[in-house]
Amino acid sequence: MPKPDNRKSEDKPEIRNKDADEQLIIQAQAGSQSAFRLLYERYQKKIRRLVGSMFESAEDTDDIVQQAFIQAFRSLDSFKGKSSFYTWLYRIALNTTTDFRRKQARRNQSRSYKNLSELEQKELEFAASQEEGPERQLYRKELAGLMRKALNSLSAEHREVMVLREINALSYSEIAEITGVSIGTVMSRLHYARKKLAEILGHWQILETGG
Amino acid sequence: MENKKSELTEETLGRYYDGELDEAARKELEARIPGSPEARALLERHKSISSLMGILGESMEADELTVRRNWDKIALSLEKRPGRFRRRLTYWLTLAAAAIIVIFIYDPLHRTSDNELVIESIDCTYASFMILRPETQSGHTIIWINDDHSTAN
Repeated sequence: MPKPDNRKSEDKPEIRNKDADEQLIIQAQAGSQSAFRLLYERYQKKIRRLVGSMFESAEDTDDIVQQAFIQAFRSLDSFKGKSSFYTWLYRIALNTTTDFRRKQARRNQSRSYKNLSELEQKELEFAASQEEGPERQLYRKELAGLMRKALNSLSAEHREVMVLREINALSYSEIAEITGVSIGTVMSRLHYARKKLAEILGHWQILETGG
Repeated sequence: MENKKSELTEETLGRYYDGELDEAARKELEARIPGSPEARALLERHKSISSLMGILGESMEADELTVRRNWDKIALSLEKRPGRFRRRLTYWLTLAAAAIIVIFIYDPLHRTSDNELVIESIDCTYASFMILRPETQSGHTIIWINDDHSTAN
């Protein structure tokens, strides 16, 4: 019988670091770059995961991560500690990501999952067949790319909750706080996002959709 | 699957999967799941999606060099604006302090007679000042401040 994925809670050292965060934030608010650097080192990995799940290009991801932290530092005075630092930071990163995507959308027309090319389909089949072999790295890379594509087929709202829950391992209430919606809306969006992803991944034969 | 039993909806199973049910509801649900192939299938599907999302998450790990390079760019950007702002602030504060010193300390020591016109000139690092006494008919002391350091001397 499947059980809830408890490993995710291990991925949240920031909760234990709340007091340490506060000290660093106070110092950073006073202009200390070294304190802000420690905050960066503490959270860059999570922000990168959040951003990187939505962009194919590592360069774009790095740019957005940088922009998000720059924005965070410049807005530190507006952080009053009402929410936790990481939810505040996530919100900034999400907004930065949304802005970037909007600009990017004007430049390029994003591809729909329905347009997955024949070549990509063949690559996937090849990669899947090598699961236990020496090509495992390639397989995982291909899967990651396809998952990103699948995610990008969702609306921004559904994509965000999915990433915040599945990659950043945040609770419903934390997601609600970051996205500015109710917990009920978070649940409903997650439900829809999973359903839609299962449909897409089933269509690509990555996932069995029966049942 | 929905409405088969009131608690065994996809939404409740989603909450269960995400660890968002309280202890009592979780236990109750766990007792019912084995009897529902649909519920088991749904949870398996959630698990597969989580695993794929996990692969996506892992694929984005940055190496040490990227982390450091990103910080260098952030630091460079942070130094630009506040640094300039700080320098300007220091400049104007020094200027204001110098003006206050001139008015409140020099003034009592340099009283002049009624018909005498005194021109005092003070140069400092940031600016030069020129003070004309006595006061004008409207009761003001005239002070020139030249803040262009390069031409101050």
